[in-house]
Amino acid sequence: MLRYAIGRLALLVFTLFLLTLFVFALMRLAPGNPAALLLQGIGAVPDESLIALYEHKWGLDQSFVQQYVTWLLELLQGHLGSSFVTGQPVTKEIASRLQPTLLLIASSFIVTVLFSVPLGIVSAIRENTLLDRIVYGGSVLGLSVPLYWLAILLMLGFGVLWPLFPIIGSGSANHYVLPVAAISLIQGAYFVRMIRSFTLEYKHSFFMEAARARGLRRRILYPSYLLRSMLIPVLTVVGTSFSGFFGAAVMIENVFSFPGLGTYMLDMIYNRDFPAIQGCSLLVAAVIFVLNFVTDLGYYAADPRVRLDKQRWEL
Amino acid sequence: MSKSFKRSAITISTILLLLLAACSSQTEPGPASTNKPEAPAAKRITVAVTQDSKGDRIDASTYNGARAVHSAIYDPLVEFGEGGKIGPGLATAWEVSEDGKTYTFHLREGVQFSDGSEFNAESVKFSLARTVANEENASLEIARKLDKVETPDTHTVVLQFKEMATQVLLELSQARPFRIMSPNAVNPAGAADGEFVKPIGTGPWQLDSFKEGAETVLTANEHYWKEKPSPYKLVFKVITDPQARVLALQNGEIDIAGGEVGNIPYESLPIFENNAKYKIEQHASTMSYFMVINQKNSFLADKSVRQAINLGTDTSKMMNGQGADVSGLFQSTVAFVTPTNQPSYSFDPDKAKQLLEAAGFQWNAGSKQYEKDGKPIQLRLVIQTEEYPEWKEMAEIFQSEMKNIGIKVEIANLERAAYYDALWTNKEYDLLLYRTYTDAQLPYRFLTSLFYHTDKTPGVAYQDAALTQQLDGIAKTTSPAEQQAIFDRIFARLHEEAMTVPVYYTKQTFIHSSKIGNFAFGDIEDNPVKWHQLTIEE
Amino acid sequence: MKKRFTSFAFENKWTTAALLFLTGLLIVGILASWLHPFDPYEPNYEAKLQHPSLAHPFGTDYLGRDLLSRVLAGIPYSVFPALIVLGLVMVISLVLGTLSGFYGGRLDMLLMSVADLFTAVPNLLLTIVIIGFLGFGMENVYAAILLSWWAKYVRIIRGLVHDVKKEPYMLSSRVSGSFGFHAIRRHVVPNVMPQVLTLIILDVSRVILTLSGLSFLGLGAQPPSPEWGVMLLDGKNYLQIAPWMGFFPGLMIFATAVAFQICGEKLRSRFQLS
Repeated sequence: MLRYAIGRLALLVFTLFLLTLFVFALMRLAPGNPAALLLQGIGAVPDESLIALYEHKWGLDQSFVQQYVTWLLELLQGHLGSSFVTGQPVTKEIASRLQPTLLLIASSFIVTVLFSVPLGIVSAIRENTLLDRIVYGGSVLGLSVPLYWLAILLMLGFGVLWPLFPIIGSGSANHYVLPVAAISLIQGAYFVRMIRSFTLEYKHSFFMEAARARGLRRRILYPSYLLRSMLIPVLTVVGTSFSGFFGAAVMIENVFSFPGLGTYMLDMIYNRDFPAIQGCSLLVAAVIFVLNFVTDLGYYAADPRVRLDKQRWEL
Repeated sequence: MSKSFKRSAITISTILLLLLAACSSQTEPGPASTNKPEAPAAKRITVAVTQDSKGDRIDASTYNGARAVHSAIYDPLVEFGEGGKIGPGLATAWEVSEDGKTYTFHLREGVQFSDGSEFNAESVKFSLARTVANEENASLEIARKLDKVETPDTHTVVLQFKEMATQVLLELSQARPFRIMSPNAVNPAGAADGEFVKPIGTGPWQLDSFKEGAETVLTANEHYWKEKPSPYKLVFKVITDPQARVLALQNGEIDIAGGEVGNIPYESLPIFENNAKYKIEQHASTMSYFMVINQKNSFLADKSVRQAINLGTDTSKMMNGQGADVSGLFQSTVAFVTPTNQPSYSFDPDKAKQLLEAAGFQWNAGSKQYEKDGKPIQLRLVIQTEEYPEWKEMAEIFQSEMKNIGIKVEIANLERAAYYDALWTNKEYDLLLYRTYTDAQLPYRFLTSLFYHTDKTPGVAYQDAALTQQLDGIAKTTSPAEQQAIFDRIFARLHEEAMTVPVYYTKQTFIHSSKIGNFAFGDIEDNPVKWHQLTIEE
Repeated sequence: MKKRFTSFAFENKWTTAALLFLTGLLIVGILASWLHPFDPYEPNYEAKLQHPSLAHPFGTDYLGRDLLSRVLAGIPYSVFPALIVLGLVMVISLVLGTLSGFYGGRLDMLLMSVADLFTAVPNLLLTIVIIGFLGFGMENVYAAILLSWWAKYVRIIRGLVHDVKKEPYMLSSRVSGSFGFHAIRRHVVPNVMPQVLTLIILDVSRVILTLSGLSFLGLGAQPPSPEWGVMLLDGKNYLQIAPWMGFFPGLMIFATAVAFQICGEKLRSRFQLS
């Protein structure tokens, strides 16, 4: 277990390193000059001497390798550099944007899990009943709705025609209702479908057949057999869902002018604010990697089969 | 008890625990929800803005922050008025020497900064020194040519320049970076290179609080000298999406939206028209939209083609018919533009076709295009819709109009960064939709930054030696009459060579809830509304 | 064989409806230019923003263009690319995933690290950077989607190949001396194909949503293209004045996505996948 964990961890750090290099290179390959964009944005005329001044200030006149090494050394000391656009440390900028996004993702996640896990399981247990059909049909529909369209319809419906909720920003708990609803509906559809099919798979598996053959009543059969074996697939779906939630949050934040990490990231990409983008992608990727890692460790701990199947998991 | 039951009990309790944790964290209110924005002491007037105003770094000597916030906090020495007339601001009077090297300003007495300290010659000297010390401002004329600042008494300031300076008053009137800030705004106080602490100006507002990416709150400056300070708080709320601004206005989250600070898409105006709950305010602007022409394209190097494109463009179709009054590159509100000195092309597709045929283009009946040596006229029109969503529709209308005169136009809607790359550096366009600057930057500063052409730095929008020579003439005289004569020639040259395709004259449009009273436009677009005069009616 | 397919496909009325819808979409998409009642590109300023009516069943847009014609003309831009992109994704990831899963070792490790890399960069960031680098336009959006999607499939296929490798028939094939390319062709590919195809078809709707989403963000199709995401974006600006402008393109995206979902689900229940 320990060896496995250390191996995975080393690989994780290496992949993160590759990732920073990758994003670093991509941003510098992309067209658009951050200095010219900054000047344009603030209403100054971007002439060459001004652009050169900024590029020097930001170290963009150095070679690519030099820039990257500087950035990496800074990172090892815990600095992510300063944003081009605002001049503030990126860590501070991210910290101020992180809280609303985390709150948004966390509450969407909780709402999603609360309604979709029970629905998925119940619908599979009551396979082919009316309830199952409605839930299943709903999940198929939910998987096909364009998220941005849903968000706009929610805004129009519950923000304007029937003004129950505020639609801009993140000032109060009420501000979270519509964004959370939009994300949860879409992500919930995915959860329901995955969990329903996992449950069905287990329900029709040999050990359940065997248990049924032994004459176990449903009251014991489902909680002690089915639900227990469901724990791992449910954890998988849940553990790997972060990037889905994050992607949805980026889209939703932009529709609702929500001052979180998603709007910040898009804004910084458009402004070619290299340090800010670098910092954000490092953070998001690290979260995704760590969650994947923890999920894998969870398997390893929970499922004895994983330990045996070395070749498949020892990577 | 069986082992399996025990296990299932553990499983179930785990799930229960998870659910419990979920419930409790859901009902737990976020920290933001405890201080509801609905119950502050002073009433708030909320204005939509498109971008974060960087409220904690609004240093008068920098470009940090939104222009509207700059001009709400800081006052200029002289104010820019209609048609380019310069009027008194913090300076009540001024004299310019014959050679354009000495500017003497007589300052207003009894003016206090928002912290109660006195406005005097020292604060002007400090502000100018700080602005000039900032490398970002190196290209401005004052920064380039200023020799020294003298303060013969507490309310007189003399600016000595190394050579003739003709743009000084215009630069001083801008929203930044020459507005006057208190020496106490930096640490150590009065140091030109001191660290910025907080914004202290003489304007009608001062900074109350700032939340990055969300809102900037201003409160009245009790010491404001010109008019009565406002009893309200002014909130600039960041709403990036145009449609979201419309919805926020409708559900009452914001009171005012519009102008360049938070533009309302014109197609949404009908929602607010004939609606007692809202008022629409319109005011002339100085900005126009036009197309930059790339001379490197072999078709566009031909003057007849440029003129034909101008003749074939029916601007009255733009913006649902609002574009009808386009005549020439600049609006009539721009300085030095007179009713007669700006000739223009009026819509005449037949004449456009005749011009093309006279220039040797043949009509190809199959493709319905004009061509020369078997090459049909095909042009790539570059636009961006992040900052100017209405350009898409304009481009589509233009595209179909060009089709009518046998010119094929392809639209390329670029991301903002790539768009500005195309404009300023790589020139990968045949036509590019752009906008003029505003107010004091028109027409001289705008023309020099886009049309001034030397061998070392080629003109950005067009390269024409005659035009460059005329622009040089402006920098050699401080006499308005002489400048006027030169501008007459410049406008004629722009027209004759068809160096641009003017498309639309923008208007300042604001929409506000009808409970907001006393709405009045400001003198410049960077200070679009006299915010401090607004009232809330019950 | 043919009969079995038809009876399988049409045994459920929902699947029947979905298949009919998709077939119709395909035919109209191919014949598009002969079928639309109006020119989808030509503005008609006299007929701006008209309600849905008999003459214009879907209404008209801000330039007076018939929306039904535009929606139909948009099929080749909105649906076909998703299929082509996924086809490419399938080919690339099948090759890489099989190699990785079958041979393992260093190659496997390298490929998986790279795949991790691509899955960890937020898709939107990757897409925007690629589009920024390659320039705007639909082709570049396809390239971007290809780059951000292949990794997921390589991972899945690698896992499937692993499972196949442990099957008894692989062992016997190995004993009988055929390992390597022959085994891949004879046993591995045919065994993973149905599952891969099912996953692909289930993902068609996601790719359609992603494509239109990128257009909706303004990164994809260029005006005057009648791509559905672009039309939705236009519709958003006229949400309250001419709701039909966004409603119908949105509905088409939705309906197409649902149809592919239904077919995919059908296949999945057939092949007992999770």
